Amino acid sequence: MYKSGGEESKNGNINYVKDLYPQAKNLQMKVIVLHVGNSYKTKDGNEVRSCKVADKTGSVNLSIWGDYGNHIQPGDILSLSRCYAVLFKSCLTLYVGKFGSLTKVGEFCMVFNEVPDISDQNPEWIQQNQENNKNTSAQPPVPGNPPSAQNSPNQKPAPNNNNNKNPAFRHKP
Amino acid sequence: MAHTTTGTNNLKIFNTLSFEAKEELEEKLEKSLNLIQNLLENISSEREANDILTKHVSIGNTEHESVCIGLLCKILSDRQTASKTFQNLMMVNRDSLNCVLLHMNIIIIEKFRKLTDAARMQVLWIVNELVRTSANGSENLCIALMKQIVGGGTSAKNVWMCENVLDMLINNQAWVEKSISLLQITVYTYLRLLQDHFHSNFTSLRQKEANFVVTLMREKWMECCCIGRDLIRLMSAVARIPEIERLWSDVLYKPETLSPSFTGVLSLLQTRTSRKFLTCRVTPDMENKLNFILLKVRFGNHKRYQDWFQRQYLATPDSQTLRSDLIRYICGCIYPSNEILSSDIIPRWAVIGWLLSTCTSRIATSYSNLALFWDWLFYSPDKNSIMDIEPGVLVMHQSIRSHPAITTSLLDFLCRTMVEFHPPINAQIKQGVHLALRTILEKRVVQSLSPILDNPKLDNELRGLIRANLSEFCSLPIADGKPPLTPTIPLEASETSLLPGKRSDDIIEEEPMVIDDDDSDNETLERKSGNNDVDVSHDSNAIFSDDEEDYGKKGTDLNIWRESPTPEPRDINSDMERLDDTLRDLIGQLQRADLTDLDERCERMQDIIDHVLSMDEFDNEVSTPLSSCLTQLLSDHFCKSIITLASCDITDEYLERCVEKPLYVIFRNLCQSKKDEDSFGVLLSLLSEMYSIQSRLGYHLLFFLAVKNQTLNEDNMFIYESFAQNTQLGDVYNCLMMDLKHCQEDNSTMLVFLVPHVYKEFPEHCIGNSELLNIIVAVLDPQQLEELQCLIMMGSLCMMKKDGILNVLVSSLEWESFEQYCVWQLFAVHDLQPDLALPLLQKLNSKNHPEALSMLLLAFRHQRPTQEMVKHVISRQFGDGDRFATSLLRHWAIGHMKELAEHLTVLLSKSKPR
Repeated sequence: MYKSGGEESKNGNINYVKDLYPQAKNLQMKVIVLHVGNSYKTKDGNEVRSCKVADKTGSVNLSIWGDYGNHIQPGDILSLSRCYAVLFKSCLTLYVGKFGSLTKVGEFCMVFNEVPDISDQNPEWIQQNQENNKNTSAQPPVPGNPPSAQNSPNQKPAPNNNNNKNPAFRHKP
Repeated sequence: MAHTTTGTNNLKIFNTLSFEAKEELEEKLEKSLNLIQNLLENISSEREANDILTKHVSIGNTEHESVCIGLLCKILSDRQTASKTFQNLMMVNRDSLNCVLLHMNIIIIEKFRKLTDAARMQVLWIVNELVRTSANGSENLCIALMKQIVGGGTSAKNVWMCENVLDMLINNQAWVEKSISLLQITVYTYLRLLQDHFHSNFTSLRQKEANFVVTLMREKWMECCCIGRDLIRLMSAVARIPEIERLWSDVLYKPETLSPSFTGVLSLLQTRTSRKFLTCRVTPDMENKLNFILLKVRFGNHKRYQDWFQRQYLATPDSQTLRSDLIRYICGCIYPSNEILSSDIIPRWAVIGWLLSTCTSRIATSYSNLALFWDWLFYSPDKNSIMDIEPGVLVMHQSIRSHPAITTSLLDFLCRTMVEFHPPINAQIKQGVHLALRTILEKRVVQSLSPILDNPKLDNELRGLIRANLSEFCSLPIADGKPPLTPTIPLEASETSLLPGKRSDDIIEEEPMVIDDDDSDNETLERKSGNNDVDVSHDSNAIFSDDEEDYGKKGTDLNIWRESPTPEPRDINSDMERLDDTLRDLIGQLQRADLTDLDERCERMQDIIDHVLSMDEFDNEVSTPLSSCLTQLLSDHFCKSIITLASCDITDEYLERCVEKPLYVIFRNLCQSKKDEDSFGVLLSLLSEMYSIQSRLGYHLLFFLAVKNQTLNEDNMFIYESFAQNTQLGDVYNCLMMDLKHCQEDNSTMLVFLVPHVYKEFPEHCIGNSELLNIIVAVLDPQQLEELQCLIMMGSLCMMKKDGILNVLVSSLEWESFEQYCVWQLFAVHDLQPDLALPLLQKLNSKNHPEALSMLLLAFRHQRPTQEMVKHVISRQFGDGDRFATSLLRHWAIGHMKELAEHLTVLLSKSKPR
């Protein structure tokens, strides 16, 4: 009766939200957009938007750079290629890589689960991240677009009260 | 990041975002358009163009198709050359435009939402051209176009569409009338769309629509009748438009003028509407999304989908009319398989409940209700599926607890519709609804209708309506004043309820609708049906517990008349025969004493006891007949409430007077004898024998002991213990529970009086006993609650302790709101930390446990946040609209910022990775 959101990945190698971890690379994902956050501009003038996306295994933050963010709507089904996950302000966040792509393949008709929210703070990952940072200099999440807000003192973590499964503190860019 | 736009885009008919995936169809259209543009490059004359195209078409089928589709795309994207291109198309195509029609259909059905405004205009233009050439299959394009008009949509685009399609149909009226299915869909669509065009902005459109629809219906009435009963539903919604009103009145009063073979509105109402009409008023996109929700989305995960759907289609005030289309579509067209029905996929009733509960307009609500029950009114098992009527009953059934207002308003609507919809055919409507309900019970959609129809929360007026229209399905006999005309009705009805029977219908019609609460009638009713114990007690419950106004007016009076289930008056002569002469004589004296002369009776009773105690031997030979005689002679005690005053008016003197009754003479003697004396044993065995005949004796003993305890400070509850151990039940707990249950049924004031005593004397049986607590809170009134609270705070009553309190609270979540409220109020006055309820927090959600959450909110508000509290609060399951955690955290953040921050820090750093 209904059409499914879009075709399955042609090579069949789809990564699921539940399997994400910091520094995971070259990911193929198919997700549905649950929430589109407000945009903000980085120091170098890039427009960035944080979205919450989900698939059937859980939900994660997706950071969208550039103009796409203005057109993406909750309910859109996106196919992401060549994306990667890193910790941004201690929360695991998904980015589309330089050679990756973000494509809308449908809307509405995709089942998802909001829990687990893989972007909830994970102490183990935070600790690992700190250790890595000691060894090597901090790696910017997007090549050429370092998340400069990371050290910015005026962006305090704030309790995120809306649409939050777990009312623990969460950072919103 | 690489954008996905590939190649040059000549095809400008879709609003495609740069990051949207291009589907196969789009690529195919684009390729064909490119081909045409290449072929016709540098062409000087029309003739040359035709030659080149004809030549290319003759190469093969693929080429033929590419040329036709390319020309179609050229028409859609270039308005200037459209006529010329259309001529080309007509010249070169060799398949009577089949592949063009096919692709047009796909574009309209699947891609219409994405078409640019210019392309939409061209789509209408080409459909118009195709209609003018009477191309085979162009009527399907019209039907597909009409389906794209959004019901309840008053956006400029939608109104434009509505108007232009209408113009096209009007201009080709003769052609429309040739295709029955186009005619029917046109009538159905525009009759429905009229509802959206009452605003003065749309006056001319409305006029055009009304004229056209009425013309079609008058000319082709019999064809329109084949649409089925939904035609009437739609007409009734727009009957205030004069043209429709005239037609409406002809349908009702002069059916023969419409068609000689039309027999009247009933025949039309008895025709089930085919799915194709119900489907035609939801767009393909809505259809797709609703099917996805109902076939794939798990219950609990549905909220976001509903929000998205709502935002897209139900956000404006005008869109309210769409709800009834959606409900008709869900009831009549989406039949989930058994596999889905037994899974955790969201059921249809839940989606319909959502549509009803989010409806903001009263008119739209009644049309939605009508849509939900539409197939009930003329239900016939051989024409309708059970699936058509299942959602209606389940919405009512499932909303009883969470959305009682929905259940009530649906029930009210159903009953009123049965009476008011169209009085001349009331009998048929009633029969339809009754058949629907019978089928629902037969197929076990719900086990019983009792939770819906006998819901004590219904108001009097609605209860009257139910009794007048659905009494066959009420499990309780009619209890509102007037006795039934024939005393056999309640029994008859329950026997025939599963069989289609005309008889019960006839009887129901004669039943009085007026509710008349008259004392004497109550009495008669109870007397009349007195031989049916269960019914009597239910009757009186229904009368007394719910009707608060009446209770206030005549409360205590009625209390006296409340009969408890007593055995039939027995002839005790045979028992008396078995007693010795003296005893028989004494019993005779008691029997002859005037019932109201309590002193006399007490003396006679004392004589009997004295004699019994003086006997050498007191065994079964004596005790059995004696107990039988005594319970019979004292039966007036068991029918009347001992305490007839309200709790606050009870004084010690009053209590003393209450126990000056013959029955209590036995208890007094028991108390006066020492535990190790023979007399104690003799009286105990007499009482336990009596108890096996009349179990209501138990709470009287409790009451007597409690009164003596209170007035004389006698420590006497061990007597009850001995008594309990002597009974057939054999232990205190069972005896106590049964006695208190009886006491609750017979005399709630006495129960409340007993509470402090039993909790004090039998804490091991009472504290932490949720069953007992429920017995108590079920009858508490606010005043009694306050009284208990004071006793607790004075330290003279303790009903709750730390251990086991959690279990009590958990069980209380299932109780009635006020009962829960009482539990929490009692909890609050005990010296118990609210922290004890912390483990409960995760189980609660605001939908199902508002009472508990609200009380906890109040309790925690005054607490300093501890780490444990914060932990439980923040680990609550998140639900939309559940603001418990956020509000509490905010409150704490204001008053106890530092502590809260510390706790959160500790908790966050402690939390384990998943």
